[in-house]
Amino acid sequence: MSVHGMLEESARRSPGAILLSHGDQRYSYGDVDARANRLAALLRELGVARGDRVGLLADNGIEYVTGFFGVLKAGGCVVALNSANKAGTQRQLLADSGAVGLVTRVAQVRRDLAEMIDGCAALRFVVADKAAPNWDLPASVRLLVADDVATRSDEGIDLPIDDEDLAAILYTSGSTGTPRGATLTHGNLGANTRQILDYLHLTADDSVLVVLPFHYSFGNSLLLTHVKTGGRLVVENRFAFPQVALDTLGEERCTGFSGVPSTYAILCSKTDFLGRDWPHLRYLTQAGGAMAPALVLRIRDALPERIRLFIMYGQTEGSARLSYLPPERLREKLGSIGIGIPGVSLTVRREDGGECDVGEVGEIVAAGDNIMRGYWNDPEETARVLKNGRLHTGDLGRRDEDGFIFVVDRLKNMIKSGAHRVSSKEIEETILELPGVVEACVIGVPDGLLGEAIEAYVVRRDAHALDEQAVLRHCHAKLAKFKLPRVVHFIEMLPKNSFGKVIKSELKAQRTE
Amino acid sequence: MELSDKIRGFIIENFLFGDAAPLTDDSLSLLDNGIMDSVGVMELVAWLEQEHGLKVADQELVPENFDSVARLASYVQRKKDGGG
Repeated sequence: MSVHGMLEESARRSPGAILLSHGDQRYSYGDVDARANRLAALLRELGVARGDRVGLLADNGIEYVTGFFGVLKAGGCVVALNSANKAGTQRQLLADSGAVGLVTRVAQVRRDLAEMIDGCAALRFVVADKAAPNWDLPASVRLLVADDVATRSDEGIDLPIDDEDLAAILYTSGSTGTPRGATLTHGNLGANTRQILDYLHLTADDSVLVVLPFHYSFGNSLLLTHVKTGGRLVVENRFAFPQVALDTLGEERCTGFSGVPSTYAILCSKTDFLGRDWPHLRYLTQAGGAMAPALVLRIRDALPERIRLFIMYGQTEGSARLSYLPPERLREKLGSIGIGIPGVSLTVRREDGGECDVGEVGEIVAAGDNIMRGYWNDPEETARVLKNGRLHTGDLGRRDEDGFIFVVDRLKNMIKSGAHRVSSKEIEETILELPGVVEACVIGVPDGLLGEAIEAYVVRRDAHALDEQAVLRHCHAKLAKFKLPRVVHFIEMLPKNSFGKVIKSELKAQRTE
Repeated sequence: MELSDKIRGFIIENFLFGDAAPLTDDSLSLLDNGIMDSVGVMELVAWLEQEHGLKVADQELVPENFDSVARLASYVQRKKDGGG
């Protein structure tokens, strides 16, 4: 079944059931399906054909959900963009994906629309909720607004879509510093949705509080699993004020909550999450990096056992989910990412491809129908991570005698900060653009809230060349907020090995001394 | 220095790295305009507690108190005056 077929089936079954709650707004399955049909009809008129990429830039809400399913119904492939990106990054991703159009909201593009699409040769149209007066778009780009969508037919279009058709490109930070687009087919996303439901057992009575962005693979999996079962998504975009988000969890009687380690760290330190009675809450899920065992235990000990806690592991390249730790084994296997989810083979392998023995450290490797087809337009990187149909995660791990896997380290120099996978190279390259900088090195350091915080080590031409504010100001102009270093250290020289390669582990060790 | 000047100064230095231009006025929503994110809110709380000797209660961490320079200044003033 196609990804949008999941929405259509749920809408046929229970058209009046609520799919999305956002503030005071409620959107039923029938309503969302009709909205997506109208958008799809407009996109077909604009010439969107099977496999065409269409950018989607919207914070969580009805526009995102309509945009996502509307693009798929038109036969297109969603290029999900992070609204935290700077205009230059959006332009890079729209150009790289060859997007023919962009579906967006004024609130997310503000004054920057022209800059975002400048030089995107394939881009022919923008569909926005409304027009902003100061957009100065090239004559080759058509601008359409919500009123143009509303007049289209809400009858569905019957297009032949099969499992191999592209459904989404989700961009993720690469070790090279350039974002890489994981290409996911209808078959990939459909398979991962079924695999997740096989252990999470969601029903139409379930509702989840969504604080994670839908453009992120974890957020995308929340969207698809709930749409498939006919459940409800409660969107809460005010997690900056965690107590406000927590009140929504209670008021909306959510049965589930999903977060990354920093979500739980903030909830446990800045709210009364652990002290409240949650009569409707049935489960919690956590993914997006390793959560400290002490925090896992704190949550487990404070909340009643009937609230099941699922620790999970995954990658965008695997659609989202690769493993889960069965809640009943949580204390026994504390610190483990668990076992492959149903339908995913998760193993620890040596460099020669052979499987490691119990306790032996190797690379964590995944296989299953959820594994991406490759990175968009990047056969080299694809060949590096996909070998014989298996995904090489870049994470090092070991398995115990019961087959439970423990992550021990990462192969690549990626920083996991909050929900984000951040490339240290991208930040280093940005800092090196400054004329007063000789060398730069960026590392992740342990942080109670974020998992890892970003710190930069900079060798400057002379002490008067620049200060911390100048480095941060430059990064702020070029990089999304979540990529900004927390501290800039100025040092005389970087520690290097005999080949001149910077030894990041030494910087980390020096820091903790 | 006025309270709102100090708060504005902290935001410009820590969230905008010296570039005051995006902070067009004191009633501007810091969250909706991408000036402050959830980590930023936590930094702001730590600064208020350190610099101004306040204790920010969990239930006070709401947009009505934190989402603009004007709201922050009014919140801090109320706390200093001994109110909630």
